[in-house]
Amino acid sequence: MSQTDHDIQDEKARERLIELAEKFYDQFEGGDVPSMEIPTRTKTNIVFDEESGVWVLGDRTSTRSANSVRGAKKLLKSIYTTEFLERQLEENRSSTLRELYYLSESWDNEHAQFDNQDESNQLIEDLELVSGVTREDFHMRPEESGAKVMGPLHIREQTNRGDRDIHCQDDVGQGGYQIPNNPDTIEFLDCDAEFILCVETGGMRDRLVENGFDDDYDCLVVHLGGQPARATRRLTKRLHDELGLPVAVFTDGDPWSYRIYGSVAYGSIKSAHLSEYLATPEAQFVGIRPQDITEYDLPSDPLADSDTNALESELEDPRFQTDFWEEQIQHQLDIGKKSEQQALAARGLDFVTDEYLPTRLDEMGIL
Amino acid sequence: MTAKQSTLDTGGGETVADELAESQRSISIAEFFEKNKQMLGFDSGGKALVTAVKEAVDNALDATEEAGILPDIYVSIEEAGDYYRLVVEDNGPGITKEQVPKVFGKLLYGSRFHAREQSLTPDQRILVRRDGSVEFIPIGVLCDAYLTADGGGTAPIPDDIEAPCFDRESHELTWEPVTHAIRHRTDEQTYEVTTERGRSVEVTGNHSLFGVSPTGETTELKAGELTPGDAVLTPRQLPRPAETVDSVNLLEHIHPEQLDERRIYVYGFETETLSQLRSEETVRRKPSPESDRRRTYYVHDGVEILRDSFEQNYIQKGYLPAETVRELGWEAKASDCELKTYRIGGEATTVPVTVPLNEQFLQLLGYYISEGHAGARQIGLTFGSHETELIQRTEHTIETVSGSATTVAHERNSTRVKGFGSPLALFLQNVCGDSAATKRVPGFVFEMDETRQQQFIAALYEGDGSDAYPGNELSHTTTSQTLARQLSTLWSMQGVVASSDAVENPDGYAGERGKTAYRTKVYGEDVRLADVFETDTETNSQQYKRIPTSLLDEVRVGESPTNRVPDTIPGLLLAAGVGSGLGHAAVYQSLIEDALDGEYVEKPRYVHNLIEWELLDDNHQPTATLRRLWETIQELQGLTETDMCLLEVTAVEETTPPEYVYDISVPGPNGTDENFVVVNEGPLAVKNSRGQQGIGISAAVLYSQLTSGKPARITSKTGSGQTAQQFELTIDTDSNEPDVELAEETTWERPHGTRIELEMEANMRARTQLHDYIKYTAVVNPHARLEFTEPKAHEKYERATDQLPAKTKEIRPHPHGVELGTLLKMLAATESYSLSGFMQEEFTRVGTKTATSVLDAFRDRHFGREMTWRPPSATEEADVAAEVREATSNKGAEATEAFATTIAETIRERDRIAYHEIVSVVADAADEAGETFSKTFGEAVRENAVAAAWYACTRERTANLYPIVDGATTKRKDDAAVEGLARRLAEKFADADDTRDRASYAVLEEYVGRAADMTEEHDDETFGETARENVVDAVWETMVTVPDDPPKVSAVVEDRDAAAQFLEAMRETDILSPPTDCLAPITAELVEKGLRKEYDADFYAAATRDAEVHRGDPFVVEAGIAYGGDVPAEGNAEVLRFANRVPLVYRLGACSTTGVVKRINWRNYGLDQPGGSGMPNGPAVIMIHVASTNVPFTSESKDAVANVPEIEDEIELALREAARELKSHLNEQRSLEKRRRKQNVLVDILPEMARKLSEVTGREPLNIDDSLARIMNNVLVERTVTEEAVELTVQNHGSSSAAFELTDIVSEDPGDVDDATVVEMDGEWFVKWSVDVAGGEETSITYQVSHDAAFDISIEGVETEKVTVNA
Repeated sequence: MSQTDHDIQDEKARERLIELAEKFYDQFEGGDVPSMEIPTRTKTNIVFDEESGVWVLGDRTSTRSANSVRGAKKLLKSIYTTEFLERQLEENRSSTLRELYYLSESWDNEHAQFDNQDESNQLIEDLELVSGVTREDFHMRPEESGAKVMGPLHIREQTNRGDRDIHCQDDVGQGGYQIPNNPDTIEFLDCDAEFILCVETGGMRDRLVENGFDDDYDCLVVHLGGQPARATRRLTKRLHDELGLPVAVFTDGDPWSYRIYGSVAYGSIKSAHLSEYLATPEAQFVGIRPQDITEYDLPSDPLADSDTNALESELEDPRFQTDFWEEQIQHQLDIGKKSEQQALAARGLDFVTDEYLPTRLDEMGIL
Repeated sequence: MTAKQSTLDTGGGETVADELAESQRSISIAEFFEKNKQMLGFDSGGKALVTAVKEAVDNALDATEEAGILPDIYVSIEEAGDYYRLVVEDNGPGITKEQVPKVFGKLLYGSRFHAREQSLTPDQRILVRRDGSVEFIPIGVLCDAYLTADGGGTAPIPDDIEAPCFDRESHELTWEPVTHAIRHRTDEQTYEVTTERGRSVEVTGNHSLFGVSPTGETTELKAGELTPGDAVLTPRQLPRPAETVDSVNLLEHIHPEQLDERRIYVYGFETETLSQLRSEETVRRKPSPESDRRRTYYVHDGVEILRDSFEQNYIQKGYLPAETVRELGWEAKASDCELKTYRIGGEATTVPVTVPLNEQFLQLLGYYISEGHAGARQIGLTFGSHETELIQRTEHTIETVSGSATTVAHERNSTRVKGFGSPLALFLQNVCGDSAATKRVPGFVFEMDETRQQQFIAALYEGDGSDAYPGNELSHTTTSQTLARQLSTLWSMQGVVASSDAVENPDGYAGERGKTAYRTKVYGEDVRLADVFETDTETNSQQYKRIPTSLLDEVRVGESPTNRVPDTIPGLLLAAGVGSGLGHAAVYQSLIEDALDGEYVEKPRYVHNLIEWELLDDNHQPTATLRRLWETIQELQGLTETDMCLLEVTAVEETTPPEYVYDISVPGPNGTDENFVVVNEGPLAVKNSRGQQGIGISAAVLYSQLTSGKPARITSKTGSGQTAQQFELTIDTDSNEPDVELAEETTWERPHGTRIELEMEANMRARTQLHDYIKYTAVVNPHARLEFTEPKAHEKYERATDQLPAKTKEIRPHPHGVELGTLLKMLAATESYSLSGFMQEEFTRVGTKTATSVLDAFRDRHFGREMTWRPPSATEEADVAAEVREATSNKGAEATEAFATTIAETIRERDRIAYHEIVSVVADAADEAGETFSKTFGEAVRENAVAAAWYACTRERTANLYPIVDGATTKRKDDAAVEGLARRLAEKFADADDTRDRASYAVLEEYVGRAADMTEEHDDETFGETARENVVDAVWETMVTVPDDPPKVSAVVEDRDAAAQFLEAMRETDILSPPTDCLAPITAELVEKGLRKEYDADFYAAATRDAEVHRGDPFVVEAGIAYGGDVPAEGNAEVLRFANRVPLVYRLGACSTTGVVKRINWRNYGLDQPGGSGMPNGPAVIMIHVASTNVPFTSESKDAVANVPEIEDEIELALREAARELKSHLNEQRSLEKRRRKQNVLVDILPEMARKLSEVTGREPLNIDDSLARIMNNVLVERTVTEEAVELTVQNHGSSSAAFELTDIVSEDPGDVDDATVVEMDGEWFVKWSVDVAGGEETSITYQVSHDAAFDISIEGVETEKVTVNA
């Protein structure tokens, strides 16, 4: 993308923000109570979008109105934030979510200041929703850095210090290439990879890299690091969409890890409004499957109550309403066990790269 | 008299002073006043002023209201030299000279106070009950405990002290609360009155005992006028305890200090119980100053327990030292434990902590009291050596109770039984005394049931070595006067009047020489009490069941052979000189009864005598003398079957009067029965004073006259045309007569009214009470205008309404409220002949229908009902027609047949038939047949026919009763038994003397009872109480009321039983509640107005309940609450109490209204109430008004409403009703407050938002009032001014409609405005509209005015928080 494209995009974001403010202005002027309608972000309000194959927000909305002291305060904050973002775009600066939280301290009206960072984070999401502009386009960055990629991929990144060409095996250290906050600034130059393997834990990623899995199988190893950041998911989607690489997700065998897979494949509830932009519905789940725990007789921990609850809640989660998941989750509830990725080490350090992954990926038709 | 003397010295009217000086005699009203001024409310200068104001204002209110005038009352207190001058003026109708004494001297006019001086000398022991336990206290000691100041006075006594008091009507004795202690100086002669049975009392000469008049009425007899031979009413049966005790906790009767250093332990505690001792803090300290090591103690309830002992011993073995148990107050917790003590030598003895009061234990008590003494470790009882059996029994008893060994030590003339067991010894020593002279009956004995008390008495006599002596006498001798007194009282609780006497230097009391012994004896049949003592000869009825012949002096026809007679008819005849013995008298009785029934009596000698005595005339008919005698006999008969009996006075001696004499006030069961019981030797009933009572303005007149020496000055004007007259009123304190003189004619600006001017010694210390009284009066009389001036303040209380309180109507009594005595009086006084007429005439709420219902109920009680039977059907063997045919003769076949058939058919149509119904069927048939066949069916024929038909109908009584009995008993009963019961019951009807099968409910009960008993015996089936009752009820249901005419009024007056039946019938009949227009409620509206007028609060609520009835007296309760505003927020809410619209200002704590206020959980209603009960706190005024034809007060002083559950319930409901309104007000306040806070925040935020928005969007600044109003659901008023017009737009953004007054204050004249009122004031025009806008709607008002005008909008009728004005 060219500089001008970006300017145009920024201008568009600015306009959207001012439109929002104007809407409030009009409401006041008409003697009405200022309010805004926000889609509800809960499990019950996400629907499967047949067209895109991802889960998006449904029709249910809630109204935030200046009617109540609470609502009025929220709206006041929205307006202050709008003004801030608008100015940031105008000045072509960026800031982090955390900076926004601290920055509000300097605002002249104490009712406009944020009580905690959750509040400011949520407000940004609200503004994304109402304005239809992504956070990245507001130039808002999350605090944490993006995850890392290792594999036969050559890219060009637009950095603040100019464009950089990077090969994600040759030009990087053991740690791999770090994904920037806005992966849309990346151009793909060349790719020798056959598929993408997203790995949940750092330990497993390191194991794969050490064993040379990326080399042996021409694979892009993407470290998810728990719930993947937006940037990681966005990059994965781009790699899949733009380079046609199949995506496999390799996590622990517990309910929380299934959600990690879920957010990669179907989108998360929190960012369901951006699912089309972030989710890769074609992503496949490698494991650890509950079935694997039994089949490989993996070392395991008993399910805690919270695990059971999470599994049961997943059974009701629209994103997991597939035969595969129902079968696996039911199985796990039956055996009452969970296992980590590293549990495979019980069969030797190379078991995962020599045995497990090749077999699973073959079954899945990726290899 | 010093106070008065000094008054005289300081000056005052000479004439009056002379008069007063003259009247220093003991009977003078002045002295009375002096003695009773505390009761009268004139005991201090400050209080005197309050009382005088109160009385004068009450008078003024009464006078004006009665005349239908809105009261305008002026009260002024001013300093006048050494005195204060009180002036009270009203605008009433005024009074004439003749009325002056009645109005201002009316109470002194009578002689209502004379009885007040009666009193007892201080050492008279009175019988009282405190916390359920019976005590004998010298009256002086009791009264002094409450009368703190020296000198004369009256003080209230708390409710928990009760004295036995008898009902003068029924002679029933009950425990009644003592209300006041009274003490005063006297120079009245005192007398000791002694009666037979050795009882005495020392009283002032004018103090009354009680006697009985020849008409059976209770009379008061002044002690000074009594002579030997007079009979005085004495308690025969003292009231028994309501709840009895059947065990005693020894620990409670052992003093902690006795346990000190004594090793007595209480074993058997649960670990759980003991563990509580660890629950509080632990301290370390040295056990004694000299010990060198600190030890650890558990502290529980302030009691320290050594931890080592506790952990190592107590908790392990479950015991505590007895001393510790007492300190902890754990006697009740230890009730299942055992007391253990160790004898030197190691053997343990145990005694249970709780000992059942069984016969054995009571015997031990009795023996101990008679013969025992207790040492520290042992009980010894000395018996004569011949009393082997008794010794064995005693040993056994001690063993059973204490489980300890007893030893018997034989001495020369006696045997000592020693029982070991220290706790038991301590207990006996404490409760029974430890030496002969201090022996007493333990308190719990008075709380035991009858059987146990009798066992105890028996043991006491047995222990004393008494047996039924020849002459059937039981005698107990003791040197303890207390014991004798208690024993006599115990006998009285058994209904036995024991005889007491004192023996100087009694023989056989070695070592007691020179002392007095007290002997308590009972005779005759009383000896047989408790089946312990046998009598060896036939006993006569007791003397105290007899009455003195002197009662019949007025109707006497000859000498009586005896001066005491049984209260039977022959006995009373004997007393009147009729007959020479009871046997003779009985013969006379039957002759007299026959004669009174109209028979011609004939019996040689007897009738001759009757004629001689002029009881019969020459025609052997009763004379007026006989009727009078008979009437007296009827009255006196059965007199001693009550709780009281008559004892003859044996001596009346003058004694030296003490400086002070005492009295207590016991209002008695119906408030007028003032009397209580003295027990010096044995119980005696004496009359007592009345408590404090409202005295009226006359006392104020007297007070001012006594203190300032000046007469009361009264000005009166009876109409606008009249001149005002001024009178001077003095009270002649000698004759107690008011003296009125016309002083002058004068002019007065009021058209009519009365003014009283009093000058008195006073002070303004009770200023607060004065102001309270006036203020409360203003609250409760919103129709009155009051003005009050005192040296430091001037208050005006304006009228809040022109509505006079509804005039109250006098009502006749309600049938549910009368007592038998009253009913009899009413019956005697009525002019009606029939009971029906009497009821309709004399009672409220009784019309023909109610009267009929009552009479039916009365007939059922008086005559009984008649049983109805199912008539035999045509096919049955018992054929009515055949029987009647058979019984009818000489009427010709045809007529007989018609007669019989008619009867049979008419009867067969009936479902069931009673005797009197057959009589009327036969009569109808006889008339009909007679007419048809021109024959006469005479009385004899009819009677025969009735008998025949009745015979036919009653042949199958058993079959008839079977289904009824079967239906009334359970299915489980054996059929043969049910049949048996039906058959036996049928036999009872058949065998009864009354051939009409007539029976009262009681007789029916008896039938069923006997039938059931027999059936149980023969058929082996039980019929319990319930089954029997069910059968009785089922049969009673099938019985019908008889048509007999109820007795006439004159007959019922004569017949107490019939009157009682009549009263019961009235009570049983449902009768409409009494009308309530006899009450004077203030009404909720005026309660609120009254409060609003005197309290500047934020909120007012009031409630008037519907009238309710308590014992025939209607009452209405009202409540009001004022809250917030200027009502002081600190401390308790102010409680205003009123009874019949009179403020109650004293004894707040004793008033049941206060109790109700305290028991309500005010937190529910939004008031602060620390602890959730008690007086609420905060800025609240709570008002309660009880209006009733008879407000029950705790005492005559009428300061506090008594605890009557029905009234309390209504007070609570009224308070809650008002409190609910308060709650919703407070809730609304809270929601408004919330709204205010919300608005405050929004008012801050929204403009900021708007400013920011204009900034971001770069557009014009915004006006956000509309939005704000909408947010607040507010009413928004906006103005648009154009050249042509002013337009006011009112938008209601709320959901409910808003109605209010909108005023636009305009600086130019707008002229006339449609739908608005325009008022010009100081160059401004107030244009006022009434606006009503529905929720969510909008309206606009347009009017024309010069567009230069300035505007200002004001809105009333809607909370300011809810309005946004943008104009």
